[in-house]
Amino acid sequence: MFKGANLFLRSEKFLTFVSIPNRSLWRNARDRFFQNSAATGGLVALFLVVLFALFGPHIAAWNHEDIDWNLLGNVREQGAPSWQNGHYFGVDELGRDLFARTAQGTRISLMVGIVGAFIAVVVGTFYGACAGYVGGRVDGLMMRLVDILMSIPYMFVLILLLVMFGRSMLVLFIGIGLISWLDISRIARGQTLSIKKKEFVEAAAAMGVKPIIIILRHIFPNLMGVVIVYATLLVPSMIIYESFISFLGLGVQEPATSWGVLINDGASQMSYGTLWQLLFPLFFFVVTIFSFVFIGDGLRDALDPKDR
Amino acid sequence: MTAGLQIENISVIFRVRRRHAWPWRPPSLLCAVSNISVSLLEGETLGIVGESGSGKSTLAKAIVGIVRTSTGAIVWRGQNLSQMSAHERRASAKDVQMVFQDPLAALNPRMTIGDIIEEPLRTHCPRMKRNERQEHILEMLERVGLHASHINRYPHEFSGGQCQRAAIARALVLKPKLLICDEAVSALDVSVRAQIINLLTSLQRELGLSMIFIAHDLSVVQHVSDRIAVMYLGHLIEEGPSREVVQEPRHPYTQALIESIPSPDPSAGGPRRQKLLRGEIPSPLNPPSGCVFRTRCIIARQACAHEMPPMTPISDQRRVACPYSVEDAL
Repeated sequence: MFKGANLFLRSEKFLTFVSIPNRSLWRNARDRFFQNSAATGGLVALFLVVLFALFGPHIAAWNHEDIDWNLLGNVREQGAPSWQNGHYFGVDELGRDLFARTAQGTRISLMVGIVGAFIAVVVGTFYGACAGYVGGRVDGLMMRLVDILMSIPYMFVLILLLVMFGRSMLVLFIGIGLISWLDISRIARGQTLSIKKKEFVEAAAAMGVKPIIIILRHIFPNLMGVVIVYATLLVPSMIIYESFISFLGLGVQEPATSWGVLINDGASQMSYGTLWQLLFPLFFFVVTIFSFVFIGDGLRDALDPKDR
Repeated sequence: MTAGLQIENISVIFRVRRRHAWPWRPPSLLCAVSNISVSLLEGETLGIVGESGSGKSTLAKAIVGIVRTSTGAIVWRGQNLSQMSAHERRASAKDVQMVFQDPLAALNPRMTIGDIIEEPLRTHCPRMKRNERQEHILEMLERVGLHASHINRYPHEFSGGQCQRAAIARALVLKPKLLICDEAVSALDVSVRAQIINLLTSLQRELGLSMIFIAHDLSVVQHVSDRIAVMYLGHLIEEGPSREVVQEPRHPYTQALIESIPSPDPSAGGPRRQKLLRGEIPSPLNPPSGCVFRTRCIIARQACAHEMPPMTPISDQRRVACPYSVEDAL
């Protein structure tokens, strides 16, 4: 069989084989991703949430800061969602338009979640892969540093940062970024330890490939499956961190808002019969978290070439 | 023919931490390769045989530089590889390439066959143009008997034999001078094994390669090698031209190994002789005193417990590390 193939290759028709279209890894992954209906649904839902965050404030009839004085004091009877007065999602307990506030909160929460998870993935994966690949004392030293950082209560550090440098989104991002990479670096290190014992890594080393290139070319892509799943789970937890900080009054400042603030406010008003104040922000929160989980699941399957 | 590779007294010692030991206790030393000297002429094939745990793979890894040597020198064409800086060492990898045991594990599952074969070119010839590299890859694919259309496939889409062909293509794309095959055919079934061995020997002839062929199966090694070296528990115990070693083994261990080759036709060979090898290979963490083989040797005597006998020449090309078999020969 191989002899035949060789003869064929040596003939003129050889070139026709070379022009076979290149099936790239990413294209295959994309095809596989879209075959997964849950993941596709999640992506669509997330896309809609993003559209809502981008264009919601422009569609809203009210500004998220303005109080509708007609409704103030009478929220329970007249503040429910209605098309007539332009409060599509109703108003909050101060008579502010909930549609505009939810849209604005979605912006902040998504941004915190995605930026936080992104910093965590980039820093954590690189740190963990380097520690695992180099091994020995360096590994011990790097991981003990992670242990020390983990043993410090992160909320305490975050609150200190916000108090010292003032309340701003930038400090919030830096604070969340500083603590969120710790877990992921441990996961990445553990995976790297098993990957670096595989023969293809040894083969690359024997071939004379530099260690940094080995990490980037051989270790990183094989880490991605685990890291991506973890990152998609990290986005919701970042959103929850931010909610908690905002609850303490150190996160986003009024009148700006976020999902955490809105859900908290809604929950505290629950017993007064204004359930819409809880349900609208909660709906977006839940949809987003579910979308991320499904997308993460789909991505993991899609990026694993063995699953084809 | 000139000497290509000279290995002079190399030892590889690992520091092993025992489990459940106190952290302040010193790690025990594991001597995976002890004091081996062997040389390889250009264009020659050296077969290395021995049981599992005899240090064959460690020796191979020491030659390509994945494992650090503790003592001794590896001299390749007059350059001492073991004294080079990491940077020089990587550059020298162009000449010395290796094929691994498990074909599927040796290929990155996230790279296509084309990318895998391209990697050495990207590493050592970064200036080469993309289409030029592509030509080299296609030429290599054809040489090892793969199809040009396989270039965009992933390793898991191939059989073990095809993966091993791809691994050989990767090892040979830089036109190295020395190829080390570490159990390159052990994971393959018999018919595929024959194909790969034929491929290796024909490529060796075409490209003028020197080769170190490692296997635990003497029948395979004898087929491809010009010379054979036998290892046991990190020591070299016999070395010589492959036909002489197989037909007139001197060391009792080599005799036992040859005895254990299964006969293709069991009815033809007459009654099998008694098994010469008993028990398991001792732990390298706790090797026997004196001659490492004495615990399983049928001609072991009191004197064997004192020191490891050195490799003693018994003819121009043969060396044996057993004084009693040397006496027999003289």
